[in-house]
Amino acid sequence: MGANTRTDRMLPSQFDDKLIAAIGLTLLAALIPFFVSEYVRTLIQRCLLWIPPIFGVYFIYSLLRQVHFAQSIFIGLGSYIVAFLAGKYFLTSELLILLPLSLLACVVVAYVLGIFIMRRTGFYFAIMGIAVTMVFWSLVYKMRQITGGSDGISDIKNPTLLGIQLSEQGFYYICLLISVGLIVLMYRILHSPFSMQLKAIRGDLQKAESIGIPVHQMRRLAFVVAGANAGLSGVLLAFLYNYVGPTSFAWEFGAQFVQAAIIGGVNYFVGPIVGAFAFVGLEFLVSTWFPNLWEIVIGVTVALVVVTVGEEGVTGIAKNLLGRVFKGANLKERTYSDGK
Amino acid sequence: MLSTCLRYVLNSLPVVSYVILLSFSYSFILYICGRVSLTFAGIYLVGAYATVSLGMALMGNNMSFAGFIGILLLACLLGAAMLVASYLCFERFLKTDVHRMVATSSLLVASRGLVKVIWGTTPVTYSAPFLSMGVSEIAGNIVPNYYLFMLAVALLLMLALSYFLNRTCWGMRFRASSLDGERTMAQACGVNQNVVTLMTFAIAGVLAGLAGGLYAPIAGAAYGSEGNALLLAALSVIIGGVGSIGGAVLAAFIVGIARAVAAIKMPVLELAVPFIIASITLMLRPFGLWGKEFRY
Repeated sequence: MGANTRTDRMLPSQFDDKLIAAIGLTLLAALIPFFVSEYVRTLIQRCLLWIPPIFGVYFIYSLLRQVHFAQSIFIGLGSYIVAFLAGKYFLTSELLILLPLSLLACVVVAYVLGIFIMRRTGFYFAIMGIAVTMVFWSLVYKMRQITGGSDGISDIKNPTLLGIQLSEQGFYYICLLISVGLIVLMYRILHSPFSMQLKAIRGDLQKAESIGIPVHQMRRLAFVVAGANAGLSGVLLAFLYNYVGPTSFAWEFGAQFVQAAIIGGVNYFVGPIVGAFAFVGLEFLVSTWFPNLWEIVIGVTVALVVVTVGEEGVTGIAKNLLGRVFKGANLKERTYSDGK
Repeated sequence: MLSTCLRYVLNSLPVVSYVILLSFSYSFILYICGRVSLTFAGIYLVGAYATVSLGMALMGNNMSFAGFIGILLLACLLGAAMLVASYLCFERFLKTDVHRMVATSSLLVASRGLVKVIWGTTPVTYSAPFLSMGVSEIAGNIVPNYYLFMLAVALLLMLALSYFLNRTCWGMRFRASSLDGERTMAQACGVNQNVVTLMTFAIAGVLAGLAGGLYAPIAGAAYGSEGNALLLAALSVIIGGVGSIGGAVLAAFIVGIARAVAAIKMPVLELAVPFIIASITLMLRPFGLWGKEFRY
């Protein structure tokens, strides 16, 4: 009985549709490097690596209704671990060592920071997030002997997996694997009792506390989940660019993930994926033709999206349009916001 | 020993005065309208660049004090116009705090982009007002007169605002609007909320533009310095408490002096020290040193 409950709840047809779509998209992403140039492949790789940190922002936003500007800390931590271990003080470029190491570092740092910045909600949390990224940025910027200051650290060795040097194609598949794996993991986490508890905390903190949920512990854990996602993709981003600089700690870099999540739409699970591709695609288009205007374009776009559709984003607009075109098609999706 | 302490205080005066103006610009909107708005840091950047380029264009190296005041007034007007425009175009449609934070932080990025398009990314300097004012000596320490001028302007403005809020009829309307969250009661009593909100944004814009303009002759205008300004101002709002003028001044002194001491003793921790002070404040007094219980 107990084993069947979960499958009973999930309508088979809906489940199959989504699963088929997900497998199809993954296969498409796996086949694409055979058909496109190296430049476009790097661009797609960047989209894939942006998905996990955006999922972190999405997780905090949709479950706790907080704005998480501090994702860049964890990207920077992962990147600098790679820069030190596989670049400056070369020890190893083994992904199976670097990824868990960065995960561990991010979990520890996120837990400790969570004690300080997860205490309060609303603008206090957002401001403390921005402040902490600035603090890390200034630390990295000023410790010139160790971190190279504003020059950053380049010439990072190519990554190896089980001692085998990875080709660029091989590295693309590692990125795809990590990205898809984290998406599946986030899907599981969003449907777990942990997320239910977080939703209860968002609804009413006192009530949640009175039914025995360790409120602050749970909020801190949510911060850790978001940070761990970003740390893993920080490692791979450092290998992708062969360069790590203090800009990966800058507050505007952390704000980019919030912007991407908002463009994608925070009400939908596919929002962060759509957001990553939309943001990187828009950046590519604008910086090709009007390189100076990028910041104005993205700033005004995000403000307009928030003003007009709020949390729906591009996904919501597309779903609305599709629902109008295919009348009667059941495009309803489970959302994580209130009242829906 | 005393002389050394005094030297730290005197060295921190420019940062203290611009943080007073900037943090009050932020907490004024937050207190009166209950709106989070991060755009003020962008206004600061635009004010700094406008002061530098106007000063270079209009006066060059022959500096006149009245002319400089005129340029500062222009920077204030520009700041007020920009903040009111951003309110009219975007911020008045935003319904929740989360939306406001996301939208105003991206407007901040947009104003960075505006500076990049107009002035480019290389820092520019205009130190004629700073140099032409000379220096004076206080208890064995040489201090530029411009530092004292900055502090005087900031403190006088705070006094004027305090008088305006606590002693005048319009100030009473502002305070009445700040008291209820939905603002229906103040509206029902005949206080025009649109006018109050617009005036709040205009005053905040004046403060932010002035902060940029006053600090520009010392530090120059640099693309990217808005992050520093945002950090120091927002942290001192957390330390001082939202909406209190005394809290803004006190917190600006704490942040500025701590930063000045750290910059000399341990340059690496220059920005970490304000953050640590703010974290400790949040733990001990969640609503700030001088703040009352606030509805967030």
